Amino acid sequence: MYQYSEQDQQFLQTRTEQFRQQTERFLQGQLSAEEFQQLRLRNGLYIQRLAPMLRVAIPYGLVSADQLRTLAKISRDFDKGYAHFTTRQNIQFNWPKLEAVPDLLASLAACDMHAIQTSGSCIRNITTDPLAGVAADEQVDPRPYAELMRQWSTLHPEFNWLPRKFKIAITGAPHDRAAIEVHDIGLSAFNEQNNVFFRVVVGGGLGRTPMIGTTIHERLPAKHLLTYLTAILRVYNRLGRRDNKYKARIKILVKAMGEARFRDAVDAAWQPIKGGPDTVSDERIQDLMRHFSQPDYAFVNDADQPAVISSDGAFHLWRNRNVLPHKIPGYNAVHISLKRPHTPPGDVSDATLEDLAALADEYSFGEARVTHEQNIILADVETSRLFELWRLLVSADLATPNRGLASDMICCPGGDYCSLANAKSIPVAAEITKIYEDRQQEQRLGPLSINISGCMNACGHHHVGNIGILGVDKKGEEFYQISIGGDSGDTGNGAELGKILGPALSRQHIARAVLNLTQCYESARAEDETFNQTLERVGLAPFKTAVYESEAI
Amino acid sequence: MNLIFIENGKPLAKRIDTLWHGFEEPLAQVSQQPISGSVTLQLLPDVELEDLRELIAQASLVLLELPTFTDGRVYSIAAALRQHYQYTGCLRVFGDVRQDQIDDLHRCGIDSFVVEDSQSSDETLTRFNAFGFRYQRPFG
Repeated sequence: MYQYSEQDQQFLQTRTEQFRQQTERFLQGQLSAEEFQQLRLRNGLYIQRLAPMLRVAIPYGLVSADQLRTLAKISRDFDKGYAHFTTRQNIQFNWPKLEAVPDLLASLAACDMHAIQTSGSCIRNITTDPLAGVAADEQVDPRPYAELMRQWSTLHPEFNWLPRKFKIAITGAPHDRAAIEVHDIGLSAFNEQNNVFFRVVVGGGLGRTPMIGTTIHERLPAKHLLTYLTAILRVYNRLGRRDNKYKARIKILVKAMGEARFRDAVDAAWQPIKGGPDTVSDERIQDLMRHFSQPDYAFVNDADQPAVISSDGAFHLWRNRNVLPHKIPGYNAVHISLKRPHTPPGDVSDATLEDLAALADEYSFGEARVTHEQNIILADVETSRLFELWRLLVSADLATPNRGLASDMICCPGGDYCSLANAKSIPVAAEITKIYEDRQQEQRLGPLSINISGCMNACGHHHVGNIGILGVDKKGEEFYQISIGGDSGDTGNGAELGKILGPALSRQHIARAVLNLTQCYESARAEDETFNQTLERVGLAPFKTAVYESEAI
Repeated sequence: MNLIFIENGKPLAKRIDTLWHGFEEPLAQVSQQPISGSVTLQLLPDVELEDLRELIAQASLVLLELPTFTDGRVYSIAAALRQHYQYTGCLRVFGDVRQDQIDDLHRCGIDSFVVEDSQSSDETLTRFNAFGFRYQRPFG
């Protein structure tokens, strides 16, 4: 965990006090609704379909056991005893009362958490690889750079009123688990002779105009990170469209200007500040790294640990599926699925948050990670303790062995909660979960991402799912458009946008269509082909036939 | 209208009659001919600063308009004037200036603010610079 300094803590207290005064002024009629809306959004507060919604940042996905307990308490004190993990390493509360939000923010600040810039047209929470610092394939630990950017972007005076929201993601591994190519800025860190460089990707995004980002710098030395980001943001803030919110994201600007002109404009804005006071020294990065607590690894070899022998097939199924390799021998990253039957994807009760906190304390140095797939990772678990951890997970209903499988769906809150949604998404996820209740079936299918969004804003990342489902409104009725072939980049082959399969289907047909698609894949695949590889080989036609010419539809 | 300005790090307010109070009237038209002496410029949010390099060097007051409080262009124009063009004269913002934004505008290098009566109470001035610590350096 990043350890807050006294300055960080003071800053959060001031911010909370500032928002308390703004809320009072609004409630006393001294601040217009229009103005207060902008101020509350920059403190994470939306007014939603049924009640306010507060989005709390979990910077780059790192959360301590104590913070999990605070989140559990907040869900009891201010909400209905549950919370929702989002697709951008945030957590949302759905029922806080407006007047109580300053107190809620104060409770967060007391444990070094906040909701700053989790909404509004500003730089949002920086996201990264949930396996940062432990992944076996990692070249550069992205955490100090993520923290550097968190500090730089927090209440940045120049970039608080951008044309539209702005999302930055960073990874330091060749398997991109942070989906950097579909962010406003994506950073891919790599190491050459002990020097860190970034490939800088700009103008990716999902939403109504999905795009894979454009690489505008192949090899940016790490010391220039902040000045180069400033230059990109300055160009966007000056030239990004403000007349139409659907054309206001940086991806539209990059496309309109063209790659070369955009790159030149960024260079022109960069030259005067390059090498200036915001240049990042090695000492600064080392200092940031020192603020992260380092797990006290026992440095044991797997071979030296007692072998975990169990004839329990369920344990082995879980281990093969949910336990990931770690760069330190004898340790493992344990993936805890929040995609369980009967629970909306990403939803957790206060009791589950407490369970997760206790498990993090006992098995993973008091720390957990939140993934953009809406799951939890305990990143530092000793091999010899996997079996006992699994038993506890089973009793807490947290041992679903479905990491990366069909039932591990990414899903936005949809029409049940969100006022932007055209259609519900949670019941669709529930219906799909039901068809894969037989675990054998999804294990047989292997890795498969099914992503569901309730509207074209694409919070459920449907464009980058192998199977993407988008809720659309047809004359007041909920319909769903299917696309296939998307990839968020975690296969290591770069991100890919899915292709639309055909006409949208009604709610009653959608689960069956997904089943038909996966059956089509299973019968067409050669050897170990993934869904996308099969699709590439056989083309869209057989999948179309499977969905639109099947008896059931 | 009221002018909020910073003196010795403290915000003060006074009544003014013109946006360019204390300076020359803004140039009505940008002339191709060289102009002697100091000038006042009024820049629109879509201005191309590079075309005005010489004039900026001569200016002692630059007026910037905030068409609506959510339009962030003025912040980057101010920052660019200070950082790229080393402009050291007075930077004054007018338009839809709200009290909760004055602090950030100031941190981008703007040093005076033309505001409505409702935005310039004594209370407004105490809200200025509420944060003792910042993550960024000022541009001013």
